[in-house]
Amino acid sequence: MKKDFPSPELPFAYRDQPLSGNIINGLGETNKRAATQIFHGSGARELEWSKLELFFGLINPFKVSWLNLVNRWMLRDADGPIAKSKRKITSQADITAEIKDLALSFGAGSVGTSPLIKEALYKGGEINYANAIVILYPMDSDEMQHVTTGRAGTETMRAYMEISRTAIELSKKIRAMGWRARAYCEGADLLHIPLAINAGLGQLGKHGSLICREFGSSMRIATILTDLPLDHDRPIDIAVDDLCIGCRRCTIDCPVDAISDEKHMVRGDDKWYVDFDKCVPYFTEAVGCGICIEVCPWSKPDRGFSLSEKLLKKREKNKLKELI
Amino acid sequence: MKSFEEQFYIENPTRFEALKRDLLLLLWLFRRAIMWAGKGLIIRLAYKKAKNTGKPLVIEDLIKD
Ligand code: SF4
Ligand code: SF4
Repeated sequence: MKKDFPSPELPFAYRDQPLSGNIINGLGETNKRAATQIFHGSGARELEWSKLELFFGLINPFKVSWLNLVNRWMLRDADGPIAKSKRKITSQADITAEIKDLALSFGAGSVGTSPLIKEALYKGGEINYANAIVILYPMDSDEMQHVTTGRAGTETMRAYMEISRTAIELSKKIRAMGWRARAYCEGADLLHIPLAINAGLGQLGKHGSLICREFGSSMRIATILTDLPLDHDRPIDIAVDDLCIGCRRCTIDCPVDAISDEKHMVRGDDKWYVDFDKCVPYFTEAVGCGICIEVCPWSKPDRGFSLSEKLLKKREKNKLKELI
Repeated sequence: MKSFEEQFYIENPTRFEALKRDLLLLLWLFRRAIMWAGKGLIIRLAYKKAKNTGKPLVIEDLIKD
């Protein structure tokens, strides 16, 4: 991977810094509460850090901006007509398997199901569906070697378009069965990571992104919300913490020291947390940055399954040693 | 102001609602494209200059309320 990343000395700044994103995110808060939107409001809603988001959109290279517009146009089919006759579901297990097969055949790299948990909703968000189908789509690892440039930004947008297409197709299929279904992709009304974790797709890494065995963190997430009755997957332990506790790769490589080696209390949960105020301005400067997800050992192609197996074995061995 | 989803995701739309949504979305996209090409160009030029001179841009001066 190239290492000449943009300087952390940014050529732009707020005169009056908005309210800290860490405060808005609830860093240090011990009570559980819903998350608040700050930055990625899809450019349609006024948020605390909206000006920076708009600035980000306007300095993005042409191709990235163009693909974003094309994706938004596609997303008009994220919801739509529902067939009048409702398919009767006799076996939840069968329909879940059918939906997962469909998702994979439409191009998803991985798929899991979860109830729509409240942790996935923003404050004031009114989304009423029973279930979530979460899909992952990998980004091309060669292209993502060029993080912080328009080339990686273009690959990110391509992955967004592919995952949008897949999620839209799946939502259409479900609506054709007579059930409500809506695809949430690049927009920002839903928190995808808590759903992906609950759907057994992976775990949260120190760099604040999802880590899965199939693609590490080098992927995009989309969710289809539906009332179709589905069986739910369970969260999995792939030993992400076992590696993150000792590994400092993302912490060292983040140019603005936004990644902490300690977990933090955030809205009542002790978890890995990335400093919003440090990360997001650099993310803006560096075409969506992504250094942390690309340097992560999990993101190396075909590495995740063996890495997870190794770490889990090591954990068992250590447990045995302690017992002895 | 409504989010993108709230504006353009419509469950079971009538033909008229779907057409209206498409037209409004086209207008939304057109506005964004124009903004990228117009205001965006000015900002990108100022941004390039700021990078070369080392004098940072002030976000509020570029993007007004
Ligand atoms: S780079 Fe290392 S510390 Fe950072 S998320 Fe990946 S495994 Fe964890
Ligand atoms: S995206 Fe990751 S590497 Fe880049 S600034 Fe944010 S935390 Fe640091």
